[in-house]
Amino acid sequence: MPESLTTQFQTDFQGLSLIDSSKKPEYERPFFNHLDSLNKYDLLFTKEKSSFQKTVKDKFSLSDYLGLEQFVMENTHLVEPTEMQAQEIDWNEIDNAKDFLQDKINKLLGHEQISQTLKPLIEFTIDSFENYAIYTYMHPKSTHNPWMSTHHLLLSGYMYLISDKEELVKEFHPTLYGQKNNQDENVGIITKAKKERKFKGVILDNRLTIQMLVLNYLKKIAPGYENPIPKKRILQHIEEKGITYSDSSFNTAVLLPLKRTLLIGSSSRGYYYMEDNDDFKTSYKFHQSKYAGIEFTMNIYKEGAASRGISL
Amino acid sequence: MNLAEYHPLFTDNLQVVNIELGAGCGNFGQIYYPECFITDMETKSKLDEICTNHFVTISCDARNIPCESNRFKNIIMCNPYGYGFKDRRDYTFLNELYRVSLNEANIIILTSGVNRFATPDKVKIRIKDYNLEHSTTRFMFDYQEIDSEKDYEGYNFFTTNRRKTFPKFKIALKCLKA
Repeated sequence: MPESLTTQFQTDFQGLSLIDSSKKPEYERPFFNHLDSLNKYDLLFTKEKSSFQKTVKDKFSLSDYLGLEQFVMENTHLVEPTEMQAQEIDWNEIDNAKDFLQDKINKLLGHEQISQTLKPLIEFTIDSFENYAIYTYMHPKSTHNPWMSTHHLLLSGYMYLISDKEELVKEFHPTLYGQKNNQDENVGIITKAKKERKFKGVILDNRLTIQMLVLNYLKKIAPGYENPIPKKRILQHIEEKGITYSDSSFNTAVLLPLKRTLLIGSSSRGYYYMEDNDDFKTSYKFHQSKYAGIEFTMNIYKEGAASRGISL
Repeated sequence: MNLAEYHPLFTDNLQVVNIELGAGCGNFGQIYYPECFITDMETKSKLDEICTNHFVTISCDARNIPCESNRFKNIIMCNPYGYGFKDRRDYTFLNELYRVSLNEANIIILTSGVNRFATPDKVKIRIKDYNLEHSTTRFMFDYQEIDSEKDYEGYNFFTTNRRKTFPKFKIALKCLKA
C-alpha cells in the first residue's frame, strides 16, 4: 500500500464540506458515468462469453447494482492493462479512512447526523468511498476506477444514495417517482447538500439494458467496419421495442458509453461492432479526423484571441 | 424475538441443524451439508422472478434469524454480499451468529479476496475485535485457499446479479460457548 494514499484520503476529507445546494447537471452526469463504468465490465464479459441476453422488460435493481460491484472487483483484469497485477489491499487502512470520513460527515451534519432517515444515505456514501478505496488499492494508477466519478462528487460536497426501495426514496424525495418515463424505472438516485432536509434526485432510466440490446443488435447486423449502420436504424430498432430516445440522449446514454468500451466503432457511414484490428483502426482514424477538425477550429480561436488581446 | 415470532419450519424440524444464509438462487448447503435450511432475505416471489429455479424455504434477514438460540451446528454462506463483516464496531451480524450457534458450531464462508463483506483479512480483524469486546474467545478464526471449480466440482456459484463467480477462500469460524 502506498503511504501517500492514506495521507491523500485524510487530506481530502479534512477539506471536505457540503455543497450549498445540489444542481442536477452537477450530479446527474457523474452518476451515469459511474453506472456506465460498472456496466462496461458486464458488456466486456458478455463479449467474451456471449452468454447473457437482456430484454427491455429487465428491471435494473439494487441487487443488480451490488452484483455489478462484486463482479467488477473480482474481474478488474477485463479492463485493466494485463501487465498491471492487482495489488494487495490493506483493509485496516481502509477501515481507518472510513472512520475518518464518518467523523467528518458527522461534524458536517451537526445535529442532523442522529436522524435515522439519513442513516442509509450516510452509509451508501461511505460504502461508495470504500469501493473507490479498494479499487485504488488494487490499481493505484487506474483511469478505469468506476467509483472515480462518485468520489469526485463526494469531494465536491455531495452525499448520495442509490436505492430501488420506493418507500425509502420517497422519504427523501416524495415526488421523484413521478418523474418516471416508464414503469420499469425503479432505481432512484438521491443527493444531499448542506441545507437540512433538502434532497434532490434523478431516476435511472433503462440505459444499461439498452446498451446491451444495442450491442447485441450491432453484433448481429453490423459486424465490422464494412457493415456499418446509421444511428437512425438503431433508433428504429429500439423504438420497435417500445423505447424512445431523443437523438442527443441516445448519444450520451447509449452510444458514447458503448464506444468507450471499445466494443463498437463508428465511421462517417455509421456504427458497427468491432471484431478485429482493422475495425479498431478505422474508428480510431475517424475520431482522429474529428479531433483534428476541432483542433483546427480551436487554433483559429486562439489566434483570434491573441490578435484581439483577449486572455483565455 | 419471542417464541411466537419463530418461523414454524425452524420450530417443527428440530432435527435439521444446518442453515445456509443468503443463498439466493443457490443450494450449496443442501448439497454439501444435507438436511439444511436454505434461506435468503429476498421474498420467495421475488426469487421466482430472478432465478430459473430456487430452493429457498425461509425468507429471513441473516442478521435477525427467526429461530430460538443455540439452534445450528453448521451455518453456511456463499459469497455473502450486502450483509456480513463490512463495518468496524458493527457486531449485529456476529451477535446473531453467536446467538443461533450451538457450542462448537461451524460457520463456513466461501468468499473472494476482494469481497468487502467477507474477505478473510477483514473477517479476521472483525473476529479479533469482537472477541476483545467480549473479553473471551467467542469465535475461532481459520481460513484456507480453495479451488472452487475442483473442490466443489459441478457446482456453480453466482453473484447477486447472476454472474458466475469463483470463491477463492473458505473461512471457518468455530463458535465457543462453554
